[in-house]
Amino acid sequence: MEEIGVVFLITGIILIAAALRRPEPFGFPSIFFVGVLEMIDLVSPLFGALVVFAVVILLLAMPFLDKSEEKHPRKRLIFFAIILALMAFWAAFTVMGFL
Amino acid sequence: MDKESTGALSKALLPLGKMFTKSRDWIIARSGLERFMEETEGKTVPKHALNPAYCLGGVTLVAFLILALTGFFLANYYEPSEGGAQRSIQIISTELPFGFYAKSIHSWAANVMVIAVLLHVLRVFITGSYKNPRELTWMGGVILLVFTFLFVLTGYVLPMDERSEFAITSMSGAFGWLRGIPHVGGVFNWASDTVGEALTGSYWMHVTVLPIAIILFLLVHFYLIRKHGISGPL
Ligand code: HEM
Repeated sequence: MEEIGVVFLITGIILIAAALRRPEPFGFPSIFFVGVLEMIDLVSPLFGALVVFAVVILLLAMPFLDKSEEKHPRKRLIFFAIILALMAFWAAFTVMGFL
Repeated sequence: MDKESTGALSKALLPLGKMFTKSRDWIIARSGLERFMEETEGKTVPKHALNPAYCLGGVTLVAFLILALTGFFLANYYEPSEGGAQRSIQIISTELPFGFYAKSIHSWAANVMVIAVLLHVLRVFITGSYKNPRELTWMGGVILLVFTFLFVLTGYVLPMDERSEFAITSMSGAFGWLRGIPHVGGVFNWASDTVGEALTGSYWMHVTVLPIAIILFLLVHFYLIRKHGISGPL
């Protein structure tokens, strides 16, 4: 229980300390959207939307794709590769967005 | 804390504790809550789940509660009109007591929530916690993730400053076509390319539709977590 309390306390302190200094954390556009905006810019708006939908559907389907009883990451390497590839794809577009 | 000071503290708090126990028993006796109390009795968090990575869902929830509280406060002073939005936000940030703090805590908590929920998903993925029998917990979670991002997107429109214009242009470009869907297209008015319509749609989503929807899905999420218990160690 202590650990949980500590995590909550830290969240609270960070939030309040942060809020006192700056009204907006990361400027605009928020770092979470830079990647998607770059896809929209670079390819097309429809492409951005389709990628978002595809990722949502892939996530929804995850339990039905990764069906083995194995839980350890080392025994689910394919699915790890998929998620890592997704993250790399996103990171790449985010970096391009800043260039 | 050493034993003696714990003793002194608990002695000082004793009347408060008694009052609490009494009111709790009063409520339990009249509400049929006993069954829920029995169900949780003796249940403890297993050792492997005391890891901070397992607290990320909780951090997400705390961030959400902070957002709900500050958002409730801000909604009292915000004016959802093209002309009024900027003015009302100016008043909130400069004249309203604690307005500036409410507003900046709201945007900081939003960022904490997004980061926490993404890390939570990563934790659940790494520990393979979406597997049988937790598929529905995960799928409901994915919907929660969509709601979280929709909150952020529609939240950007509300200030009606240059950032909002940019948000409206990109959203309508990517999702505007959804408005053409017969009968339910109106739900996507936040993706309109007309500023007024996008503002009304975003406001309606941000303060009414999404809060109700996310709370419903959170209740299901927590019910399912309770039902299955936390997933086992790797
Ligand atoms: C608004 C966002 C969310 C909140 C407040 C939330 C909250 C929580 C909490 C408090 C837990 C208990 C264990 C823990 O904290 O790790 C949990 C477990 C879980 N969450 Fe979430 N969650 C959210 C979003 C998501 C998302 C986006 C997903 C998946 C895509 C997800 C999937 C799961 C699963 C599968 C479990 C069970 C984990 C296990 O038994 O080990 N949740 N959630």
